[in-house]
Amino acid sequence: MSLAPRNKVLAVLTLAAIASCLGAAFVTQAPNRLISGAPLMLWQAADFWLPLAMAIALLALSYAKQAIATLIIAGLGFVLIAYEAGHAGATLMAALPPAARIALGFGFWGPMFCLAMIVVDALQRLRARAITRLLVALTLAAPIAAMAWAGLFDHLSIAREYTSHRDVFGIEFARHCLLVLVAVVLALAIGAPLGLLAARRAKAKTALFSTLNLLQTIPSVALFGLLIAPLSALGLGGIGTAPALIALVLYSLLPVARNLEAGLAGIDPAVVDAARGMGLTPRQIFWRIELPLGMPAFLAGLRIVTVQAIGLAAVAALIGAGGLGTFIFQGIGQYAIDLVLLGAIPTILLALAADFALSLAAALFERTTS
Amino acid sequence: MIEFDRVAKNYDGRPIVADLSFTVAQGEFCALVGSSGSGKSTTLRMINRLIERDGGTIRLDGQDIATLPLEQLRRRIGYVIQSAGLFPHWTIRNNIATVPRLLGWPEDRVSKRVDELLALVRLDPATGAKYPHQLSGGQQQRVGVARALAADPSVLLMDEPFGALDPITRDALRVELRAIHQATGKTILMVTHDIDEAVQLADKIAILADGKLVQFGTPAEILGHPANDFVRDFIGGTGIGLKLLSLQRVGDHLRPGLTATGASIAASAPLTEALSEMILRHTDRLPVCDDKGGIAGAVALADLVT
Repeated sequence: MSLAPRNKVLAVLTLAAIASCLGAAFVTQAPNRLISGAPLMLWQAADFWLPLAMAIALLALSYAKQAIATLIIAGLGFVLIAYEAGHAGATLMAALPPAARIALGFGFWGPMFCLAMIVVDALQRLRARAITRLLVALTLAAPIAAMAWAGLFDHLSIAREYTSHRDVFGIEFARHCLLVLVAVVLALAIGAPLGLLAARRAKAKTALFSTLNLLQTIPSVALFGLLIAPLSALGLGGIGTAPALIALVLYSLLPVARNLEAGLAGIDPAVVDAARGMGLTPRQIFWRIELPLGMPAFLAGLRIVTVQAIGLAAVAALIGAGGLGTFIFQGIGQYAIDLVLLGAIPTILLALAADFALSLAAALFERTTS
Repeated sequence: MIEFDRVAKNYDGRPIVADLSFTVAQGEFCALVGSSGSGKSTTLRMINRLIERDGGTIRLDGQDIATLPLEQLRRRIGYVIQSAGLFPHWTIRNNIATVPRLLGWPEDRVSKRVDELLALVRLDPATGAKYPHQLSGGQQQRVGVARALAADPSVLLMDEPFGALDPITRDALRVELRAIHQATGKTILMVTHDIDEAVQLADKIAILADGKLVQFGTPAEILGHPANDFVRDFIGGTGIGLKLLSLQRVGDHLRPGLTATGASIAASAPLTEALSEMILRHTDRLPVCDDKGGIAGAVALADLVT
């Protein structure tokens, strides 16, 4: 039997998981939240048999013949490490004063990330359908959510940041979602007609896309800054929700308009010619033929825009628009990394969830129309 | 019936079609032939006003097409294009049902009509549930023809309908189109650059060059008396004799008393087939059988040239 790995991606991810698991601090222990902690390795923080078992399981991964076996081992590892982290927090805190902090280290995040990627790779190799992916994601999320619900993570620093910001976390989370939702709806309302215009008029297309391209190259922080003066002059207020919303919409216009245009341009001209020749009105041609055929490209654009807006909305906290970015910038200001994570991790999860939901919608659409 | 009366079309001041007048009678199959750029497609597309003419009048069953609402006009005309142009996101049944639904037919009537058409173009009823990409090019074009005939239009316009198909599929579909024409009695105007296709299918041929009608007549008239050198070159120069021969049937030259040996040839076969057989068998006469298979007489080489 050859020792060469069957799947190079899997081998690299496994090695990276093992290396980060064994080479970096699993948790850090600090006397209070503002001081960076002393590293504790996996075997110092956790029960001994567990890291060993995990290392072996991870090694076995690279040789797992069946993607389904890889999927199960990596999924188990993912949940197990989460459990181990919570358990380590509780055990360590029992012997420490209440002000002390146990924070998750790279030895935790590294393997968690690698295992998640291994799950994604396995799903890809299994050619899993969207619904299967959803079930796998829920299966992995459920035990971790249950552990959180049971209070297993309560002694970790990130949970304690959550506890002390609990009253505002819900508000900022909702605000973030609302900001993204309104921005995407506005971007669709403005971008779709622009895309349609570009598809219909070649001259407008060039001018429109070069303008929108230019907008896209402005760094987000700079755009927020540039909007302050004109908006103040208009009496709308240079900071807060208005400029954030405007910036998010501006960034979203290009993907919306361009993907709609590309979707419409990709339709076989013979199909439209036949539709006209048979006596469909221009309106019927658009709604019954062009829009459904251009929809997959348009949905891809919507996906890009939503994920992009979720990320950009975090930056909008800089100009006082609120949202999850608030915690990120507060955390940076206070040098409290766990507060940064309290903002960053929900943002990432939100983006992943939106991406997933929209790809699911696209897949369902394709199934019903082709 | 389609009447062209001094029809003209210009692009950027350049005439594409000029002073075009001819009439396709009710139930007639007319082929519009010419090289690329001759204006034949433009001529066809002016009838359903996908292209608006700049001068003259086109009448459909006696009615000036300019007086009809655009969509209403188009729904009265069957339209078949080269690549079929089926709607890729609709099933075959829904594709065929397009115009009847636009016209607001009740669903049970639409469904019955689709069944009839699938049978007419010789497609398996199960094909109806499939999507266009699951069909071969030839099957797609059958659906294209069925879709064009769906609302029972009096006129069928076909723009190089067999241009994208392989030769075998093309021959099979030509034979079936003839049968469909005979069965339905539609007035058909078909654009083609293939003179053989025109000779094989059409009752009348209109030859266009640089947007002008250079000759209009039956295949025999055009092959027998080309109007000028252009037409003579276009219809095949030295091959004209064989094309003329292909227009006649063995039965037309049957000699009932004559006998011959070897396998017999059908009275309905074109004379070119008889000539080919004679050359292959090194003989100057062939026995001829009628539709029932009985020997009716023979055909002789000398008779082919009279």
